[in-house]
Amino acid sequence: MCHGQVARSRGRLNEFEDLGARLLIVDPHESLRVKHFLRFAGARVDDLHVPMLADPVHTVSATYGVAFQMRIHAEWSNRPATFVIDRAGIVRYEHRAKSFDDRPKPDEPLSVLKRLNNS
Amino acid sequence: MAELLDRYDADWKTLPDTEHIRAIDDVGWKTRMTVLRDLFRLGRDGVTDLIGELESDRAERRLLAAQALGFLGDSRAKIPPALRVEKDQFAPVRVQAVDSLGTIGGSPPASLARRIEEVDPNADVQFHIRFAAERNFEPIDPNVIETLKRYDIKQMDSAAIDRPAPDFTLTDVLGATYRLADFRGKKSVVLIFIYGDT
Repeated sequence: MCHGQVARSRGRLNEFEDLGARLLIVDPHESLRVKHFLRFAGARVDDLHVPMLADPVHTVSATYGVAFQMRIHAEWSNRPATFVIDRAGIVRYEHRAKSFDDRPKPDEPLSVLKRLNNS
Repeated sequence: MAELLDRYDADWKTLPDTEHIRAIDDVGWKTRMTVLRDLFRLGRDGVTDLIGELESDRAERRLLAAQALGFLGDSRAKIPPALRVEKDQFAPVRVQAVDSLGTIGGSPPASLARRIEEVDPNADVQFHIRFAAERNFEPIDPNVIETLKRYDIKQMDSAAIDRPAPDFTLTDVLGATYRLADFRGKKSVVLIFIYGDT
């Protein structure tokens, strides 16, 4: 169930914070369901260090163009995707998965943030 | 109702079992989103027809009907999803029907869970049964329904490189609310869309 992109990013949270960035995670389920899943996966809901945002009717996912595009565990879920938004609120990087395993390693958004900070 | 679901049928391409991600230029998801919104807007007026759609010979149609009924939470739909859970051959329909039972009831969740866990070998269905039992008929937050009813479909797929990121407000699992625009001028944001990844 878990690909691990979030866990890897959480493991390098200090690097994101040092670059002045906030990680936000979006899951296309109700908050109740996200909590149920986190407990099922052995995670402590109050010890995530990264906001797990609930998008239960997929509106934010649809706005970002990722809703209902991956079949997983008998549901149509988000296409896995990562966006970097700069301090001015402009999208500077996007990665939309073309397969289940197609996720950027944390190095990729981190390098985008470094470049943005230096520009 | 029929016109809405016909549009969904026409645009939503069924993927082979071996494929899990739709093509990057697939547009069927936009129709799915639009039809789901319009089903929410029909509200109670659409419930009888949605119950009828649970008997459709098109599996994806039964799935969308079961999903919409769960969100609408109308008490007239107490029994039909339970029948789907028991007899539908397509696991995704059983998953959505179980979710519906979790919100609108139809059978005491604990006894339903015990009964289905004994007969349904599908692990995904069992995961949803455990969630439905834990939920214990807590209805969907009405604000959630309103969010989709109000959704402007022109916003779909509007995030693009070098363009302003579409603003949003969402709540996290601890109840804290985050608005993207609040970070403007203060922090960059790395936004990650996932399914249940921890």
